[in-house]
Amino acid sequence: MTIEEIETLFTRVESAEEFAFIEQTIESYQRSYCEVYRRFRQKYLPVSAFKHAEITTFPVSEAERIFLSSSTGSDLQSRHFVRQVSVYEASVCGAFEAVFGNGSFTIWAHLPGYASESSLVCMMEILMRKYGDEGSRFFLKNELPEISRLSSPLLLFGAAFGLLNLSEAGPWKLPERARIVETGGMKTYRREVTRSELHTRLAKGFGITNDRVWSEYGMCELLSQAYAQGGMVYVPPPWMRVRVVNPNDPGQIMQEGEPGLLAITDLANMYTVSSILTEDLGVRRGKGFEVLGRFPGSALRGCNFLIEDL
Amino acid sequence: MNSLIAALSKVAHGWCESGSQQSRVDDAVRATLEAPNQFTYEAMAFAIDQQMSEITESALHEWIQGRRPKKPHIVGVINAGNIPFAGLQDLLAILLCGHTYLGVLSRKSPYLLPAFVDSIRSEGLNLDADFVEPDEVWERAESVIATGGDEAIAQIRSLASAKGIPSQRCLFRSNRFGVAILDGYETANDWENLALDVLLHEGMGCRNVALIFAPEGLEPDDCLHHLAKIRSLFPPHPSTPGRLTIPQAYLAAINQAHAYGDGLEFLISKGEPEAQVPGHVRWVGYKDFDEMIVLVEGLYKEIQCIVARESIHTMLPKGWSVQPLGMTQRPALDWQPDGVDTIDFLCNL
Repeated sequence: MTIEEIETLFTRVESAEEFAFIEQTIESYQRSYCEVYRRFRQKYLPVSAFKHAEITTFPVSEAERIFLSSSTGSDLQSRHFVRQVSVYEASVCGAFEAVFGNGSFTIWAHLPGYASESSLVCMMEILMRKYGDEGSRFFLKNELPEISRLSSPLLLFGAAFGLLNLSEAGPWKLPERARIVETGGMKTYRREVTRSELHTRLAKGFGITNDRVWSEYGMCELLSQAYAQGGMVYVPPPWMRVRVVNPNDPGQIMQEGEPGLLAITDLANMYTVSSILTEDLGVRRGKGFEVLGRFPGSALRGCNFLIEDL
Repeated sequence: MNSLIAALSKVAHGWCESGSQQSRVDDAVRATLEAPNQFTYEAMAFAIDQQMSEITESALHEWIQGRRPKKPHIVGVINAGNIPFAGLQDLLAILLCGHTYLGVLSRKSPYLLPAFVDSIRSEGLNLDADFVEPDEVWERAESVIATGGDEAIAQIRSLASAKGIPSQRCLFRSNRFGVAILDGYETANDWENLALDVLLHEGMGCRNVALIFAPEGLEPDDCLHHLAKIRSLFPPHPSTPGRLTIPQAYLAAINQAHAYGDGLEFLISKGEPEAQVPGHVRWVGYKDFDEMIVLVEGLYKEIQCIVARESIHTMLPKGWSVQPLGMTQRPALDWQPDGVDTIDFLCNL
């Protein structure tokens, strides 16, 4: 199977065997053409590599788009060179349709502070174009667009703390069928509430029930996303495998319910590196996973109750 | 109070090497080494000896300085287990203030603190101290002490709030690390002390040196030599090479300057001032003191302690609390984690 063939069929992966076959083909391709990955010699490349090196299997001048991570001033930004936006679009749409269906929806994206180079902005552009009706839009102000004239079910996407600020500018009363999709924290904020609290506060602030607060897990360095359909457990699409590994020994896979680092293989990352060691702590829950919080390597210093039972 | 201080001092003396508490200590050490932690026998012996040697009658009196709370409280402590005897200072502070101690033990180190309390009780003292499950802390505690990263503290803060414990009765400490500042005139003894600051307890302590600021042009050869030498006195925990495998492979892949000990017993890399995994120390070059001071100031909220040769202490900002090299794992009884005086906190509940 060639990489071009994988491009067209990776979202149709169904079995573990198919995944393993494509994974092996892609890994071999990436070892051949990505210099950093060839030298790395381990499976899961630390996500910070996207900050410090050009992680590609092709000349960066050929990238159709470059995703940049959000920046906190002096921090280096991750750069994800996207060879073909169509691959990203296939992944975004496949994951979306699997959980939301194929629309149409009124899609609102509240993304203040996000630059146009953000992968999240690109994802929302795709979703609005493919599944959004004429009321779909980005908005930055701490004020909801007009609610009374919605012609289709509302999906309100936004970064966790931006949505929290927006909810506190209310009270708001979203339609009963509306769903909020929080896309995780923003690195520019200190996280002072738990996710469970966050969902409760969002539900209350927007006048909907807790089960209508959904979540999306994605990052600049990955071209695929996992969704939690209410509750805390994200389920990855079939072309994205999430393992939980021991932070002290990433070769060791943790048991169900035991916390560890999320190690992700994303077949959509075929032109960069597919197997990434994140800096997120999580636990495996059945076919999905829960995210407990940020966990850079330095977090192993000092004490961390997140890796113990509290 | 005086009888407690006398008993603490006596017990601590008995815990020192070949003391009267030796069999109890041996049992606790043996059990602790079996727990899921990164402790080694040598590092535990060091920690016990060091911590116990601090607990003298005069040091306890000097620490307390006659301070007492207005009324006793039940204080819950979520103990860390990253290094041996983490949480001992909180236990002592709470007992000396006359509060009731409710400790949750880390599964990484569940034996040392209870064995120490048993030793005190064996002196005939009736201590208000219990080790309990987390639920009991949230049922009974009127005040809470805990340390952790942002998300962990968010969880604990949420629980404390739900149980009606006001924020002024919570002492939450964040995760931090130590830094060392070099000027290029370090002696062999200084390098040896620095190696201890980096590698003791496998670098897991919040005071362990994670960043070394060195003048440009100073190469880490002496440091490497002494890191290797210290490893012969304090052999690595078996998990350390595994933890360093990916960082080393990563540094090699992105062509970042680095070096490591035989069998990946430690790792040192040149680069930006970013703390790495325990056992991996970052060597950060600076042009002059002004630049170094700006770099350290930028990290100050994350820094637990700063060590440097004594002769350069006066050249550093007065607001910095700087200690000699080799002191990160020898904290005095009255050291203030995160700059907060635990006794003051306990006396103002």
